[in-house]
Amino acid sequence: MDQNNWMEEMAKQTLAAQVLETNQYTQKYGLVLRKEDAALLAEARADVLRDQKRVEFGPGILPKIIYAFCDSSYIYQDNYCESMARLQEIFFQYKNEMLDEITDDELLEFMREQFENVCRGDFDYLEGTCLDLFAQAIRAGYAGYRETEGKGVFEEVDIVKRWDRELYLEALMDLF
Amino acid sequence: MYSLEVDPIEKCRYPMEEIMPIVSELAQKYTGCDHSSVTYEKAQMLMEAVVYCINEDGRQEGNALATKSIPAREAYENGRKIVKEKLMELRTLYHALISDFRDYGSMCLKDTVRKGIPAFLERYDFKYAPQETLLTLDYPAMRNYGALSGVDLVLCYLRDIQLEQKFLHRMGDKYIIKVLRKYHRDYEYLSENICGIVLQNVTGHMILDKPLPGQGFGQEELESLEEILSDKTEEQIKAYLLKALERLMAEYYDNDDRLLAYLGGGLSDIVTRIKYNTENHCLGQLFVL
Repeated sequence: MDQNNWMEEMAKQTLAAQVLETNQYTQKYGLVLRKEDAALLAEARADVLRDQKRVEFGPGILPKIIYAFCDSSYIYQDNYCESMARLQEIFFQYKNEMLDEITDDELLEFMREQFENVCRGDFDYLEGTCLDLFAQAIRAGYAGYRETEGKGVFEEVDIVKRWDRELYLEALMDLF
Repeated sequence: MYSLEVDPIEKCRYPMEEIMPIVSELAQKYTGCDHSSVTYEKAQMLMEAVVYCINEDGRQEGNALATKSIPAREAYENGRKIVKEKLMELRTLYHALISDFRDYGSMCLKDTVRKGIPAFLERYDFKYAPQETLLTLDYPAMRNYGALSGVDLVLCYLRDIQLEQKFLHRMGDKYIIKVLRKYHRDYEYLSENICGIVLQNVTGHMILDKPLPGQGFGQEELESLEEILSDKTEEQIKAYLLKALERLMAEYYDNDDRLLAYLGGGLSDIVTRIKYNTENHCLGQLFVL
């Protein structure tokens, strides 16, 4: 095994161990990763880093992703491993798309908010619409997310007229 | 696994498993707590930064053999300290140089020294990118700096500029400008080494043993030079001029060995031009005043 492979294997094992540790917290949401799942996620991480031409030093982002999304209404045991792999992939893709202008925490906060409130658990919508719009805004110089750490900023960059609950209630009152 | 490639010239003698933890720490400091990953380009830059500092330590006298016995981390820390010291030395040198700096009208020299060097001092990042030179050093010095980069290169370069200033100051501004103007009507816009142009002219004086500043070379003198030089090889001409330069250093430049070495380094090109112009009967284009 050459030097690079040895180091890569060490990194995978370290990440797999970190990921399994998160079970202690996530099990209260009914989410538990098996050893095979942890190994799969570590492998997926290596693949996505290679595809996105990024290098992770120190503790990886995956445990943070797990802690951020484990209480989501749209993630449950059946889709847990697959969802984490997908979120990891989307995370690294958009770190590049946003030219590293946004911190890890800000991006995670934005992703979590959109996934839960706008995308309703739809990864394609998160990746293809919400994050795409946000990335375009950041590349154009938008920096409003810094004040709110990524929270509540999608409205400023959204181009779609969304569901307005107040308007709905008003219309309902008029009908009755 | 991404393999961080380093310029072969700057290959490090430590194995990857010793360097990677240092690169990893540097990356974490670089990103603060804000980013757990960096792009390949950033990782490459940080890797090169670590290797640059390690090699800086290795370049110190006496360290070449001892380097293998100290851990990579220690070599890196030593090297980083050396880089920082060189940066301070560059700053001190620049301030000393600029107080009496003369560009003699050369825009290229003026821009490189008055704008380029301060820009380097302002933007040079000795922690995360010590290997970056940042400048193009448009004004050409009479030396080939090889694979030098970063503060190493700029420091060597500025020391050479200082030597040039020492050489030229002795001759007076008026004479220098006259020689340059005679060499080329619009010399201000040339990207040529003005010290080399003046030195080239001085070699004519040295061969004929003609004092400076003088009234220039008459037709008889040029013919005389042609006669002297026509049956000499380049090696013979160079050897003679080196001897003459040594006498010049002894008489006017307190035997400055560094200046002699620098000017001596410029002689090869000058001698080639002398030989060519002798064969083509146009020494007047080189010995202008």
